[in-house]
Amino acid sequence: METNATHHADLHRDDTAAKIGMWLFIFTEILLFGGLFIVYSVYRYRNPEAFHLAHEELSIPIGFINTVILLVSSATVAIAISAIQKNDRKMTMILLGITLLLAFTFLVNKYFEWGAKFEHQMYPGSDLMKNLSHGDTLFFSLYFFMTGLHAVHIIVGMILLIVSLVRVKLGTIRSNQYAMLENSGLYWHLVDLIWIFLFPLFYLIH
Amino acid sequence: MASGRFNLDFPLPIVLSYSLIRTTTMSEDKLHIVPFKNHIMVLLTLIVLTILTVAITSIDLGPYNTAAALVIATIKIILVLMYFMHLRFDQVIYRIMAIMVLCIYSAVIIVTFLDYLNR
Repeated sequence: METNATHHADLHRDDTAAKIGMWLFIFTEILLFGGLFIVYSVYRYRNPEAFHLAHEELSIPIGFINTVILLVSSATVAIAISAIQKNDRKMTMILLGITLLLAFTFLVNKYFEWGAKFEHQMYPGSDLMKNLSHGDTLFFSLYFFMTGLHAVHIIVGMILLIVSLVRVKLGTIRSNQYAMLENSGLYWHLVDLIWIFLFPLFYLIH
Repeated sequence: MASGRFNLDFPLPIVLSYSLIRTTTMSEDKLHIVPFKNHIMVLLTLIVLTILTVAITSIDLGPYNTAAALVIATIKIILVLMYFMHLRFDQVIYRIMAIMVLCIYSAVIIVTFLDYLNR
């Protein structure tokens, strides 16, 4: 056990505890979105036709592009962690920069996607929606709520990655001390995990 | 000896998990650096699976469309959890926690649908 001494040289630092804490937080997030997925499944089970018709309003190409963007950004974060472990700070910063750029692109796509929906009166409470069935309203309420909550998570993830990027630049995140980068990375992968289920459930399934 | 029944004791997992943390910090010292190439391979697999999902759901398979999409999505999250989130290389305790959460969530899904499907 004494070999651990070098690993925990700083008494005020416990990377394992920090990481377990991050995982526990991620589990609460999974259950939060998990609950919403159950709500979606139950409403879809009760309004199959309305959900089928409503889902055709969503653009599969945009959803697909956004999926690929998130997958690539997840990979760049994972590689950034390998880079910091190899003490390659420049590479780490480049990869985090690419990740942030991809995250921003995702949000821009989302902005245009949502904008088009609002233009076509496809939001809960619009005049068009009032004439459609209850199922359509439910579908679009869930669509806006779940993708909206996901977008909030993207923004939080971006803030965490920006802080990590600055700290890599300052040298407070380095090859023997990168728990913050690792935990921000875990959060970013969570955002990816959620989207992996959001994409087929809202865009593809009929 | 009664060591075969050891696993039945409820408090044991807690003791075990503590020992897991202790013993595996040793192996954590042997830092596992995942080569860039491996992450790229995982990424390509994920993209191929995404294309496969789009392809499968564009043909009409009736109720199997949903099932196929969910199975592929599950394979994708397992890849992300194991490789990008390092569960495969990290201490066992994280893997145990993740499996427990997925079991709890599955139980909630099963109970909810047992209710709705039998109303």
